[in-house]
Amino acid sequence: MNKKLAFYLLKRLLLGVVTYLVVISVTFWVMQFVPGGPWTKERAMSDAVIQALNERYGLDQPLFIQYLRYLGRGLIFDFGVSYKYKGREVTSIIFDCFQFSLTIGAIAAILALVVGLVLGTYAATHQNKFFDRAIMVLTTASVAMPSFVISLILLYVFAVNLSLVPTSPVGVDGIGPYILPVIAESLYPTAYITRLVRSSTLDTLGQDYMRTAKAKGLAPRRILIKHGMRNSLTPVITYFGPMFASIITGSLVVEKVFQIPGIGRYFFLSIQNRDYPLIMGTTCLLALLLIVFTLLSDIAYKIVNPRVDFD
Amino acid sequence: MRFKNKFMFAFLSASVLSLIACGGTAAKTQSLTVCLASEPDSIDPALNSAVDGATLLVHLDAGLYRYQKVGNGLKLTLDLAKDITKATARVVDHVPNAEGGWDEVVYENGTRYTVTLRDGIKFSDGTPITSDDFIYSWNRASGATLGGDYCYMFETIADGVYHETDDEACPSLAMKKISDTQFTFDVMVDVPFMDQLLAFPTYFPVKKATIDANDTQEPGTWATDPKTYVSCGAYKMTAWEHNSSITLEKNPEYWDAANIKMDKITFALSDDDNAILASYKSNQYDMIDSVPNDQIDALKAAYPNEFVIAGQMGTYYISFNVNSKVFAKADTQEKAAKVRKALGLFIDRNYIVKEIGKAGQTVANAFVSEGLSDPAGGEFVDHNGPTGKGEGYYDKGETDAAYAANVAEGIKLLKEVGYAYDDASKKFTDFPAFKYLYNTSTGHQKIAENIRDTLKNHGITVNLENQEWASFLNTRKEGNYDVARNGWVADYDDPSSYLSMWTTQSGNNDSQFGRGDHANAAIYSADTDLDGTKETGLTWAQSYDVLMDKSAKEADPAKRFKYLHAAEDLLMETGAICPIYYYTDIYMIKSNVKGFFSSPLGYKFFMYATKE
Repeated sequence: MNKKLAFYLLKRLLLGVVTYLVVISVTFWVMQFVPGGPWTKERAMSDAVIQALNERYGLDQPLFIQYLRYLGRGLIFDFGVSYKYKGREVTSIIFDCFQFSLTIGAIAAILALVVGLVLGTYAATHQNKFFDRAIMVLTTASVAMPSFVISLILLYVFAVNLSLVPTSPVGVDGIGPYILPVIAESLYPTAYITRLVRSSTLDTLGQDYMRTAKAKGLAPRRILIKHGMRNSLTPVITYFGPMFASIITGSLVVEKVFQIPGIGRYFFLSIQNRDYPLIMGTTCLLALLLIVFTLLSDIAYKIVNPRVDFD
Repeated sequence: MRFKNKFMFAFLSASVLSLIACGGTAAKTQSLTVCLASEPDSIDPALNSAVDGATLLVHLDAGLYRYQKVGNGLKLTLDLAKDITKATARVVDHVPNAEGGWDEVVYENGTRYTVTLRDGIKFSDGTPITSDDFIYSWNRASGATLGGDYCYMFETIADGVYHETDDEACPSLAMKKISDTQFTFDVMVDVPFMDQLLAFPTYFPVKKATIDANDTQEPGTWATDPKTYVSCGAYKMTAWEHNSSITLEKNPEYWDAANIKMDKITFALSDDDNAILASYKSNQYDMIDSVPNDQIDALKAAYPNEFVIAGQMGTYYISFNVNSKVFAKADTQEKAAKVRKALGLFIDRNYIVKEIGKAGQTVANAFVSEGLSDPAGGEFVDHNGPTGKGEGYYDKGETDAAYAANVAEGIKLLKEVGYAYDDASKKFTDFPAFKYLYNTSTGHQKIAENIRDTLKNHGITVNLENQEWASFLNTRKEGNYDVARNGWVADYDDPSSYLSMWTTQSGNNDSQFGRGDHANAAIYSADTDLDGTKETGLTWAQSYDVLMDKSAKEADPAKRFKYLHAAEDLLMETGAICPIYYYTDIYMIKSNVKGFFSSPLGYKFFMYATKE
């Protein structure tokens, strides 16, 4: 078993590196074919300036050389300087912003997990009762509503009209400005997890082993937690890994509406600005996190469900 | 779930609010929080090219001149300089030659400026600002190797050719140190806007030692961190929370620190109009430079004393690609000009301004916008148009009758070109469908849709296509379009800031004048020697380029502006530039903030403001 696990991990790690390289490569080549470049600006630059800039950043080199250099930089996670934000290292931009997105995202994800588990289990064990129905309506609404609508409603109600929290973190100490973004980011996963847990718990509750446990005379709570939860968790684990990776890399909308200096907007802005190093940096970060958390999620999945083989 | 979240944040926010309440300081310093835009690309004076960056720079740094409010107007007054004199001099310029070297060009009637700096001026770190700093800074900013967007701002200074290489032999600007507080610089032709250039952020001095120590890998690094940002103006940078805020506090070393009223300014960095407005409404921000377009009417009504519409030197227009073959019947440039002019006449600018723009924009009937001065008195627009009396190049169509007349004229022009008009349905039956390109944005889209709907009434099909910004710029610059949305904001108060973009070689010549087939179109007439008679049969290079070149070399302001007006006449004759409106600058500022002002270039000045 241990040998099997080690072999499995090694295999997955290698696969992860390959995936990572593929992502970097695809990003690089796609970028080359998108019209416009980092020096495409409304006020045109002279040819001499563009040439000087290309030389400085090695953009005058043959594409294949640029590609190899990018691969090398991607592997050591050093992307050089941003073309747009003059004089700033991409890794420092990413670090500065990522800490905000990570904190908000991680809290939102954990909040979603806890609330989702509790609500989902509660709804399943009280199927078709009032609370179950109410939870289902609320979760459907949260999943269906676009996040910019939810964010703006939260902002106007709680920050502007009720003045309970500040509208922006500028000039404000403390966690006040980060409360609404956490809620805004957690709504969708909370609703999603609630629904997952509800349906898988309902499914588990009908299983033979649950009836056996009941027949053995175990306490209902113990049956639900020890025998039921373990099984109903499986779909949540599958969902949680990639969700966690995506939520901690920030939401463009939520970060814009609440003026959070997170990394979410850079995924979008770096492409708009053709800021190649920043595009590489954000893409590599996202790819890396997705690979890592999918792997962790798979391992957790196998621990929870020993019937699944490591192969 | 809802209860749980609500409870939690009510608890948390209560604790946060109490923290804020306890943290209030007793000292009565004046402070402002304003929001102009998101994270600036750079606040290195030589690398910045954005208006919001320029606002930061006029607070942090200083030039030889500065803008001050005098009565209701703005005036340029001496800043770091105590005296600037000029005299006619023999000026030598260098231009690159075909062999890769430099040729001397002598201007016998050039101008030599002598600058005397104020005594005892210092950078924010206490070190003196000397002539060497200006000579270093201007050479640094004008060099191609630095890669600043605005290096062309130094073209007026002799030898101000782009530095092609790092080669020591490459000429630097014609500047000479006389003493630590005195230096000269030479200009080939004394431009009337020299004082504006000397107040322009690209001309601000920076400290060499700081740059040498920090910019070892990458230019502009020194300007990304408050610890290394050495400034020379009214403020110093005390904090930069990247992507969130930049804090400036008064610089006690600034020579005029006694007259700087605002102690601390926090520039919030954000680009979401709705979020910015929310912060303004909740009194977190004192001034905001953008508002959501769909809320302009409501805000104007709700905040009559805080909503401001200021003039701005800028024109929103449509550019036609002169080499487009989409209007097949217009097989000559003359006919194509008629088609373009006709399409322009159909556009209901008045509706666009009132119902879509809503920000007090004015209908445009010329390319050079309102707000630019003219040596003949008043504004440049007061002297534009074929007769030079300020009538523009077509009627603004601001009344129903005037607009109907424009439309009738448009129909007549298209019929002359040979398009079939059905009098019963009042529609053209064989006008080819064409594509209108714009960059993705709600405002541009609404204007595009209005133009499409208007032209549809005349039987003309317009297909809309939008592209994201960088792709759009690329498509337009390469001339891969028929008709595209366009806009231009002046760098300084001089028509050359607009008109020089349409010379054949200009990188901003989106209409492709003088290129491709248009290079051979010898159809233009212009009085290029101002002798009262127009020469005919000229190509674009022989007419427009010549007018612009002569205007650049003309020292007499009256004559210079004659060339510039002639250039605009020629430009508008092509119909390829179809102005829609002149931009305005809208912003909101709390009514308890006094002494604030802005310039028509969009710069905002908070240093003389006080909060009551």
